Order: sequence, then C-alpha cells, then structure tokens
Amino acid sequence: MDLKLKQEHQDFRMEVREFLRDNLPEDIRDTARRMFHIDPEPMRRWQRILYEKGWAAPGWPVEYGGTGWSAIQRFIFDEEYCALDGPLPLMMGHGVQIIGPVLYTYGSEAQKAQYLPRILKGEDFWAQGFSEPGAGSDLASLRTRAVRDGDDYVIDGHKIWTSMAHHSNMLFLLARTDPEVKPQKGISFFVFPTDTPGVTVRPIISIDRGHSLNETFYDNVRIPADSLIGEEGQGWTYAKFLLGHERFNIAEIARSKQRIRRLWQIARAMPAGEATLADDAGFRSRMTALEIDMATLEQLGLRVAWEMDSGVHNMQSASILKLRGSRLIQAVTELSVEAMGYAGLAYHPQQDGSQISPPAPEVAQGKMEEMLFLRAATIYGGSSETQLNILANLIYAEV
Amino acid sequence: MDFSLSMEQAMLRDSLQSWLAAHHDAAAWKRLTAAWPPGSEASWQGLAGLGLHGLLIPEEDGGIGMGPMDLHIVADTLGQYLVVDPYLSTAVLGADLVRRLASAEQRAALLPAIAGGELRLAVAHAEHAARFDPFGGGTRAVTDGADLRLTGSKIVVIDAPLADRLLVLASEDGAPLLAMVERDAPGMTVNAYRLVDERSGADVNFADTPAQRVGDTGDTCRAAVEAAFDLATVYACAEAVGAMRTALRLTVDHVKTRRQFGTEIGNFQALRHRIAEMKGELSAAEAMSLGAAAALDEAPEVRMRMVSAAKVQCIQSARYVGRNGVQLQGGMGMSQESAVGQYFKRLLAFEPMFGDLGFHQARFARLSDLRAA
Repeated sequence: MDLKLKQEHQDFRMEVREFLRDNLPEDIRDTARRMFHIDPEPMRRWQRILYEKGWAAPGWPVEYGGTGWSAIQRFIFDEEYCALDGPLPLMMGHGVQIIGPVLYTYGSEAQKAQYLPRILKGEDFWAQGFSEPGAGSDLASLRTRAVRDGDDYVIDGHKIWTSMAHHSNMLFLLARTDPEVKPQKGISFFVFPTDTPGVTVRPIISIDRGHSLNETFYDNVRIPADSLIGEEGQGWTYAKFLLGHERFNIAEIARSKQRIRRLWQIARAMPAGEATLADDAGFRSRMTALEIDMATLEQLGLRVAWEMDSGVHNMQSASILKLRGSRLIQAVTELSVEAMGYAGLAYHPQQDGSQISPPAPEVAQGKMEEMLFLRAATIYGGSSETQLNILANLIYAEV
Repeated sequence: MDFSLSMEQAMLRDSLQSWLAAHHDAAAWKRLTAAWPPGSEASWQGLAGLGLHGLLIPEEDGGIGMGPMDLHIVADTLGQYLVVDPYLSTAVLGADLVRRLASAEQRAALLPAIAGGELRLAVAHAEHAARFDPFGGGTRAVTDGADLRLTGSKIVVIDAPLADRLLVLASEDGAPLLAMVERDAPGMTVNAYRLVDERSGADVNFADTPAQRVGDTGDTCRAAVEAAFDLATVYACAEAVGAMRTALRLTVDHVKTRRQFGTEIGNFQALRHRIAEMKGELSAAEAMSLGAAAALDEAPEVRMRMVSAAKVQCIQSARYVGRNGVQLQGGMGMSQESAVGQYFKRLLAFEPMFGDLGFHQARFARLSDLRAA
C-alpha cells in the first residue's frame, strides 16, 4: 500500500497545466464560467485543439488514437482542466466519453475505422437513445423495437431524455430485437445517423429553461444491418459496460472542487452588513462541511481510479462514488444559489447564454441555471435510489 | 499509487486476524471486559508475540520499524474485535512520543521494553478546562535538579489503571513540556473508572510529584506532540473503521435472517437502502482514514488538514453506522448482551479522541486550500 502520487504523475500534472494554460481559449473558458449549456461550435474548436495535441480521447487506448492515460492520469487532467473552468466534455456530445469505449471494445473493425477517427476530430456529434417514457430507472423494460428485414433493421419506438440530439448527427440506441426472451436478453445496440428518414427530434425544455434534452421518435426507421454493434441480444451487456464507465465521470469530482472555489468568490462578493457573506460564521461552517465532503469524494475517486487501473472489479465503489458525487454536486450548487440571496431570483436566460441578474455579482453568472439543471445529477446515470438497490444486492451477495 | 496490500501486509493482517478469531471472540470479550482492569496479560503478550508492540519502533530500538500504512491495517483489525488492551496508549501514542522526544538513554530504557511487551504506558493529556487543546492545560512543571516536579489535574487518562508509567503533557514557564511519571510516584492520586466502551480510564492529580523530563521544552515539544497526536488520530480512525466493518456485518447478518411480516426484513427497501448507505459511510471513512495515514509524513499544514478532514468524516460515518446498527437490530440492539451495542459504544468513545467533530472542523477550516481569493 502506497497512496502517494508518483513523481511521474507530478510531472504529468505540470505538463497538463502548462498545455491548458497556453491552449484552452479564453473565450471558451469565459463562456463555460457564465453558462452551463454550451453550443457545439466552441466545443468543436476545443476538440480540434486537443486532437492536434494528441489528447482528443484521454481514456482511449493508443491504438485507437487515444492517449492511453491511466485513470489516475485522467483524474489529474480533470483537476487541471476544471481548475481553469474548462467546459463539460459532454457538451461535445456523447462521442469521446460514452460511445467511443463501446465502439473500440465491441465494434467491428469496419465500425471502428468509420466512427472513431471522426469522434477524435470532433466531426461527429453523438447522442444517446436509452431511456423511454416507460423505461427510466428500469431500463431493461424498454419497448422500442428493431425488426430484422432482409439486410436491414427497422426501428419503431420512442426515446426520451435524448441529450443534445438536436445538435447530433449520430445516434446510438438500445432496441428490443427479441420480445420472447428475458427482458435483458432481447436488447441490441445500434448506431445510425440522426437524419435517417423517420427520425424526429422534439425539444424538451428543462426547468432551467434551457434546451439540451429531447424526445426522439422512430417511425419505420430503416437502417442497414451493419448498424448493429457486436451481437444481437447483447445490447444490455454493452450498456452496462457503458454505464460503469460513466459512473466515474459523472461523479464530477474535479468540477465540484472548482465550484467550491467559485462559491467562496461569490460569498466574498455578496455584501452582508459591514462584511461579506464569506465572513459569516454560519456560512463558513457549512462551507467547511462541503469541503470535507469534497476531500472524502476525492479519496474515494482515487481509490476507484486505482481499481480501474489495476483491473480490480469493484461495482460497489463505482456506485458509492456516483451516489456521493451527485449529492455533493447538488449541495454545492444549492449553496451557490443560496449565497446570492434575493439576487438569485432575478433570472432571465438570454439567447446568447448570458443571464441578466443585475444585482448578482458577475462571478455568480450561470449559477441558477446550473443548480436547476443539476437536480438531474441524482437522476441520470442510474438514480440514487437505483444505486442504493444495486449496492444492497451486492452487499447481500457478499456474505 | 497502490491500494493493494504487500505480501508482508497481507501476512500481518492474516496472522492478526486468525489470532484474534481464536482469542478474542464474543465470549472472550465478555470475560476480558468483566475483569478489572480490563484486558489480560495473556492477550497483551499474545499481541507482543505477533510483533505488534514494536511495529512503529525503529529496528535499532528493538522494534520492526514499519509505517503508518501497516499500523492502519493493525488498527482496522483490532477495531473489528474491540480489543481492550492499551495498544494505542503504549505502542502508538506513547512509543511515538518517546521516539520523537526522548534522550538516547530514555529511548534505550523504554522502546525495547515497549516492543517486548514489558511496559505499558498511558498518556495524560486531557484537562477539563482545556477541552481539546493539548497545550491549554494548567499542569505545571518546575525544574528540580536534573528532574521535574509536577502539579495539576488530568482527566480521562485512558488506560491509566493498566499503565506502568504515565507520559504527562505539562508546561514550564508557559512552554509545553512532556514529563514521565512512575506508577506509584509520591503526590499522585488516581481515581480510576470504566469508560463507556468497557476500557479503563482515570482522573489523575499531581501534587509536587517527581517526574522525568522527556525532551526539550517549547516548540520542539509542540511539534512532536502535534505529529504524535495526528498519528494517534489516524490510528483511532482506522480502529473505528474496523468497528464499523463488524457493526455492518452483524447488521447485514441480522436483516438477512430476522423474519417479520412473513419475510426477511432485509427484503424491505427501506432497510436495503439503509444498509447500502451504511456501506457508503464505511467506504468514505476508510478512504479518508487511509488518505490521512498516507499524509502523515507531509508538511504539517497538509498533514493536519487531511487528518482533521478524516476525523470529521470518520465521526460522521461512525454515527451513521453505529446508530443504524442498533436501529436495524431493533429491541435486540438495545440489550447489553447484543454485540452491535458494544460496537456502537466503542464508536461513541472514538468521537472525542484527540479532538471532536467541532474541533477538527475548525482546524480544517483554518487550513483549507480552497479559499484563496
């Protein structure tokens, strides 16, 4: 047992810090500071910069154009990236973090050659069609059908919470290919262009009044048989692989740390009598509690990163990380809004993404939007209640 | 970074685990805690036989010179069995204070004896008016030739009824100083009692009591005491993690077998979620306790920040796991006979050790690195 970061990791941190300082465009950082949802254009520009550096896909193996970084290295990269207010990678769609690992793990050689380079360069924008109106936490009950017809599959159904589908040109989707077997066994995994005839995207405006969510409808959508990933009926396995991968990222460890730093800035900018909110004893003690939760989450994250790097298969720790990470996200964003007091109420999201809230300090821009949207943190990626059920099953099976 | 146990560490854990399973089962615990003072010579020598007393003591002083990560494994394992021997007082806090402060002559007299299981220590640091500030007490030392004389009152000196010698935190002309007192020193009165978790403690009064000086007065003493207390805090955290581990296991065993309303109560989702949350708290405590152990050799500011964060997290986790362990075992959890209640009380006794929740929150807040303008 040796929990110190090695010297090579300290050196790596310095390399990342220097690169980001010199290359992460100031206008993108500025946009990411002010708003949660960001248009694809600046994201593509940033992805292109990463691509030129060879850092387009931090988690992918080198043979597919990734960096081959360990989870510990990605952890370090995230810390440096978030400390500079880098935008959420998912604003570039679900390409690098979500579908990429599925494609290089389970895709055919032709699929890898076709899709992976385009993800790296930021040329394709991917959206995910998993949830359905009748299949949320109980994803295996999904009803969207894919029927084999000669050299094609024909897809009919209805997906919901299809994040960023309105920006996407590619979709990946779970559909039922065999209604006769156990629900998990009859599901398959498909990829196809968003502009395939029969696909309709309809916006869902979320409670922050932003648009990142959509419903998508599939009406007699005909796609070639080579749109299937891996084997028919194995889609559930691939989805579980994907969700396992996702749990590390969506704990947003480094992002929460940066939000805490920002929260202190907000508090120092909020007058309170002769002093500022940052001087208030009650506020300070609540911040202390958040900072300690932050420290704990970091240690849990390092542990999970090490497990990923050493091939230790621990589903419990991934669930615990997601559970605690999403709670901290909410605690920090809630206190950020609370810190604004009355000024937080003046909330008028603008087309250009700015939020005119005149009395609030500049540093609090985007905080109401962020807090409202991140109510979803304990819902997406397997809700907190689902994580607790998963955990209980694993604990009971242990003894 | 590597969280896996080395071969030596796995052997350390396994040998201790099997010794404890053979000598510290529930029946043994009842016998050992019924005795006064609690514990037994056989248990103490058994632990010595495993090499545990010299774990932190350098090889040239008769120990085996292992480090904080190894100690963490030992503490976690002892915690799982609620061992009541004065291990923390003697082999952790006592030995570390001696190692850091004592003269060559004192080290030679004390460290090999600790490693060999021949010497038990207790550390008198708490005073009623000082709350958790180890340097806030009113016990005074005055120089008397080569030695000292102590006057003052210490409270809750854990393991004092078992100790051959006491290490006493005092001050001389306002500067902190560590002193050592013999068990039967003149002018010393001891009011001994049982603690809530069945270990022993005592209030100790000194009236012009002869004592030996241990190390220099002032900043040297202050830095050494802070470092030794942080080590002891990590030990206490790791022991609490072990106690939580067993409390959770007992609770899971219970909900999987106890039937009500026609089914095992563990099938009810309210209880499933509670069990899952308990496991999350245990993992959080373990992660922080290990992180703090790894930070013990960092610069004092980094070390103290991490140790304080760990203590806060471990207290919060201990409350959740301890209280829910009792809750989920229902009426049985309330009985003095039940094992889980004893774990609950050990976790309760862990809370004030070397600073409670509020003390460590405040210390963490002073050292936070996220507040720069």
